[in-house]
Amino acid sequence: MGQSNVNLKKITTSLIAVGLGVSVIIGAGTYKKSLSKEAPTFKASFEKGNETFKEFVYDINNQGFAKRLLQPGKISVSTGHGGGIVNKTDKAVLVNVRTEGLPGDPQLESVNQTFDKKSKKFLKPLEPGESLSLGVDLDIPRSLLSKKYNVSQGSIIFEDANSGGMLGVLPVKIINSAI
Amino acid sequence: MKNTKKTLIRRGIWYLIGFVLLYAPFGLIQVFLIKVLKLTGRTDIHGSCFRMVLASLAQGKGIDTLTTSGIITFVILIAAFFFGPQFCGKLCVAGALPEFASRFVPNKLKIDWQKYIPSAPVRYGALIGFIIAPALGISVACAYCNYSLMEKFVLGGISWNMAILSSAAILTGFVWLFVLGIFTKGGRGYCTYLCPIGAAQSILHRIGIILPFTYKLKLHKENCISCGLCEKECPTRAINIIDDLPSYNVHNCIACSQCVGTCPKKAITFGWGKGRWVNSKKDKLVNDTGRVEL
Repeated sequence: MGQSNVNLKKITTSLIAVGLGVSVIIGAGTYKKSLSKEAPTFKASFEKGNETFKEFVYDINNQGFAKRLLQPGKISVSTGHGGGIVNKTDKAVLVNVRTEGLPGDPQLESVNQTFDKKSKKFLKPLEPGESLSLGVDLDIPRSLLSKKYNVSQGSIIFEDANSGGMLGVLPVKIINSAI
Repeated sequence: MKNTKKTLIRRGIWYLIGFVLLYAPFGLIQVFLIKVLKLTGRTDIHGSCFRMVLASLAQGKGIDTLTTSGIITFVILIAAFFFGPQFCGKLCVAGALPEFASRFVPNKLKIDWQKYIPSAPVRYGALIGFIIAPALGISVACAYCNYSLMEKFVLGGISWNMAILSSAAILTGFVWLFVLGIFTKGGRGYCTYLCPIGAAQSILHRIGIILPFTYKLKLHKENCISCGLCEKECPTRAINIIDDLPSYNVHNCIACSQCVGTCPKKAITFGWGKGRWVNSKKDKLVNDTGRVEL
């Protein structure tokens, strides 16, 4: 009887602990989901050339507590995981990216193997139908973040390095809706 | 004490090798798989990601084995079955960092969580949560990844420019490095409670040790002098001295060999073949009133 009680206690404790593990992960996932607006992403496709893509809006007020506490000014204008910029034209384009009007020394990043991390340029053309990922990292001074609703405004410009033609423009707006 | 330090240095070298093999800016394994074997994938730590493979499987997308992460996951799991979780014990820098750092924190500031919460079932529960999360429309694969965070810290340190972190990543860093890291006895709280990679390896190792031809931890009771060094040095609290003999919890073991290197009488060894470490019946009874083991 004593041994079966011990076994029952052991099984119950283990089951509660398993439930705790499941709950922690599901809880963490739910918390992350609630912060989905903290890291908005954009999608863009080159079709006719010289296009203006849907405006990318980053709201500082959507940041979670930890982010707001430690690095509220470090944000990324990003396509997120997977390729977000698609070449829908019928010819290959060598994508050149530059920014205009964005604060905090914007740094280009990409996980694509054609992206050269030193020169911050794509070295190989983007073939028709292919996609690439991109992130423009910004480091906005804290003093700018809490002063006004419109923190900053600028754009990311995509050009074809071979022809010099404009592929598109992504307007970027950084706001703080708490003000 | 000398043996303990020697073992720590040896393990430290292994972890450095692990860093060079798997993490950017090196990622030698991924570079080899991409350049020589022409597989697809990334050369940073994401190119060896077990979590993404598992999440992909859980979402019904299957596993694409001909990718860097597919191959690396496959090798880690097969190795765990035959050799134990050697990846955790030899190559996982993300697990080693808080463990080694915790050695500089006074013991009185550390919590022995396992006194209160059994780690193995929590970790298996976390693995279950990890598997069912995609079905609930929740993604936890990348947001809470301490591997990715480790790489960001190193790359940020090299370029003197800290990477952009999400709230979830900051929370992960806090839990992994501090709450379950340097302020936890052994420094391996994140590994023993939350790591899905470790949990999957432990399950396979638990099955593997039953077979007579696998590599496993062995206790030579006749040599044991009950000095308690193995219990003191085990970073995952897999060994506990019960009734003057070390009791072994295979679910917590990361095959780091710290106990093997520390034991002054060579009473604990890693080896092939039969003779796995089985706790005596007496040990088990005592365990029932103390530590919970699966």
